[in-house]
Amino acid sequence: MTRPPQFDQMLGDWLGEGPEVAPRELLEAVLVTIPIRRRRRRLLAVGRRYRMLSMPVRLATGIAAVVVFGVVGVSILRFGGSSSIGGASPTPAPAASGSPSAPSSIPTASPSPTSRISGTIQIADGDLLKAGVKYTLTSFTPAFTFAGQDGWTLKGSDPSSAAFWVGSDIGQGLFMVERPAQVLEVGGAVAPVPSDLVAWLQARSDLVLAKPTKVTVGGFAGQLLDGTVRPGAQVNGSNALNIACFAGPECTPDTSFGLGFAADNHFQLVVVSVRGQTLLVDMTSNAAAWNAVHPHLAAFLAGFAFPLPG
Amino acid sequence: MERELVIQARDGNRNAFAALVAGSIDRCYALAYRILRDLELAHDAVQVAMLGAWEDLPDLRDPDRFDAWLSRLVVNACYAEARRERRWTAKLHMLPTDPPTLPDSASAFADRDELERAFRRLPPEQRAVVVLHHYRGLPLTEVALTLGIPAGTVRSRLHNATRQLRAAIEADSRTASRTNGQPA
Repeated sequence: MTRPPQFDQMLGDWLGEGPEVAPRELLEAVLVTIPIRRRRRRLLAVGRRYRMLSMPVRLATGIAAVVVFGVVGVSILRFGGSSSIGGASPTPAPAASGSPSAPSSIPTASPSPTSRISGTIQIADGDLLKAGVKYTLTSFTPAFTFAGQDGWTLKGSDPSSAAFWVGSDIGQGLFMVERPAQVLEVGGAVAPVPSDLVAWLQARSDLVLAKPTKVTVGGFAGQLLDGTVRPGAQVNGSNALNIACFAGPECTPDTSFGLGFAADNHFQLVVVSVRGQTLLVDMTSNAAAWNAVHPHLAAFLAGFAFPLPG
Repeated sequence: MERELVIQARDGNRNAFAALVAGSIDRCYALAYRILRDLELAHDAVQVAMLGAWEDLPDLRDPDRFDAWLSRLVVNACYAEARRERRWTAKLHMLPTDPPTLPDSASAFADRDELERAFRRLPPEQRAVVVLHHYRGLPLTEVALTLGIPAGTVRSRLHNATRQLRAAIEADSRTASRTNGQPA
């Protein structure tokens, strides 16, 4: 057997290759963002930050600048210029006793006043949920209300997707609502969203799906598919299978923002049409954790409503 | 000097924090790249870590541990990026079905290529230990302190990672020997 000579030396040399200096844009992006970051909200905008970080730095920097000016403008309007931006005063977190006029916890996710729904708590990216509290998410279109689950966090939301995780690992439990923009066929070709999404999912050779069952999501009829990734399916280098995209400039098996599963996932997909819009609800966890996580996922689904704004 | 900056930044001085960022971002980026093996992901991880550092700095009790504390934030951000990558932005690696026959002069490049692939297959927790030990040159006890895990865990992660990397290189060497008509 041939044994690699001086393995540790080779490993050290190999690790030594690569960049030693950070790009200038990275430093600028951090320095631009610090002035608008408040302390004492550790989960602030985690999910949204991910999205933002996927943009070109100049675009992200531009958005940060817009946010700065926007926050300044709102502060001037609301407080006559007396408010300091990014000051030490903490922003209140959602509370069970909150009123409909409770402020959004981050400026970037402030909903329009007309979309607030009476008797619920506005939620923003990074907020930790509490059981027994009813929340409204208005950054997704259409806005929805849902019942909170202890330990779950809204990790990211935008008009076409909203993701809730439990724990630090996405595999521990994911509840995701999205409006797909494109789909990825078996083999990776990009295609428009088919009119019959359930049939399209059932026809995929890389998924193992049970027969669809009828469910109701927020008063709208949908179909639920329970499944796993078929053993031997063509997954990408990260052992994942991406099948739909909800946004972003590119949609590929490797770089999509959208619906995908790890090979060891158990999942349930709900296809539901809400006022003419086809939505996908994805409930996923590692197969080993499924029995423990599923009640929480089902509770999320059962607590949904899509009230009309206003 | 850095200690003073840390204390000031901890108290809310953004200029002091900006100076800390400027002085440490290269190290953080180099660390993140070596764990993630991807420039864009490293970029995102460092940005997340730096913003997290600003938010969490009031919790840092010992200013002299700032570097290790920041490294831990970077490593944790790398874990998150790696897991996000796993699901949403994964890279496709096409493995060749038949390894090419390589002349001896190319074997070093083949080893590096195999090392790269084997390293990418490691869990991020093992990659971090390998990088902190073999790239940063930290002793295992310091790796344990940096990551906030027991030294025994560090040892086992390093052992497992090294075993897998060695196995990949050895398998590659055996294949090259066979295709060259030599006994493995």
